[in-house]
Amino acid sequence: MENDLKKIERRPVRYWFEDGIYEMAFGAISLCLGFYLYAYAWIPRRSLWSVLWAIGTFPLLVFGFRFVNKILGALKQKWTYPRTGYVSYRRPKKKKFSLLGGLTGAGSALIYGFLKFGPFPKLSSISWWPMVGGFLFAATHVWVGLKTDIGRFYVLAVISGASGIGLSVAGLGEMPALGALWGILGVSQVISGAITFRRYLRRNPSSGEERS
Amino acid sequence: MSRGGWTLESFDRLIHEPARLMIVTILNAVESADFLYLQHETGLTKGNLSAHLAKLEEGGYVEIEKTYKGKIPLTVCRLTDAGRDAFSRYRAQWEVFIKQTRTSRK
Repeated sequence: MENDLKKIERRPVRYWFEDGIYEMAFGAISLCLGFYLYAYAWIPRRSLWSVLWAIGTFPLLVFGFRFVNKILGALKQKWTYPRTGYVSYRRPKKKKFSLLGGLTGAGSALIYGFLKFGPFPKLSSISWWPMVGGFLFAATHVWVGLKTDIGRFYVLAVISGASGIGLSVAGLGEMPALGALWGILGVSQVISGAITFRRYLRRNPSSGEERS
Repeated sequence: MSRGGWTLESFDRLIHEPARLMIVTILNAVESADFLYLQHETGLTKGNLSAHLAKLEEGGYVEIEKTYKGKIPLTVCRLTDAGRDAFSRYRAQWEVFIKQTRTSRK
């Protein structure tokens, strides 16, 4: 009984990811960030451009994600809500959200510090950020998969983890590898989202399409 | 059927009915949801869903707001505080009931 209720409670969470729009939007912003980081690697160090580029990362992230949220809302309004209905979600508590963000940041910094400056000198030559990033994304995808029972998130988790490991040992350098990681994540999410969206539209024709 | 003071009759009948339990469980997980979404998730017919929602509204568990999004009518449903309380109570009752059933079997 309790399990049944939990399954039913998961449905609205699952619904958010059911149409693939979230992945497409998040994939697009990941791709942009990938290009941004990759380009940063080619700008000469200690130049004005490099400083501006570095400062620009934070606003790009903040505005990028806000913009994606707006686009997401508009796309869902146009494609999803008329087909399968509208849901307004309860906002997560800010404290919990900030705590999770802080813990994730601190955890990644600790792991990175240990690998880079720890007792294994050979390991310090490897670019670790892509691996740490890849594992963080993999963990996030596994978490979403567990919360929603949607299998494709496990595939995305494997892609994230494998890309992180591959790019870390590829010897591209920290920044280009990080840029490539975001790029690979972006492409994989856009593809996965587009396939899901196509399936969703086929399964749920709008009332006009149904009639015709 | 009585289990250590709990009886099946003491469960909230308004929520206990399977279709309404499903509706309330979904609404408890969100801020609000429209009629189409509830119909999509529960698989109930329009008439059936309307009837169950009306009963929940009568009991003060659900608020129903009829608006328009452009030219399209939109019926938004949300669980009231009383509804959320009743649902948590119902869930707690079930947990106790199940535990008591298990211990009495042993």
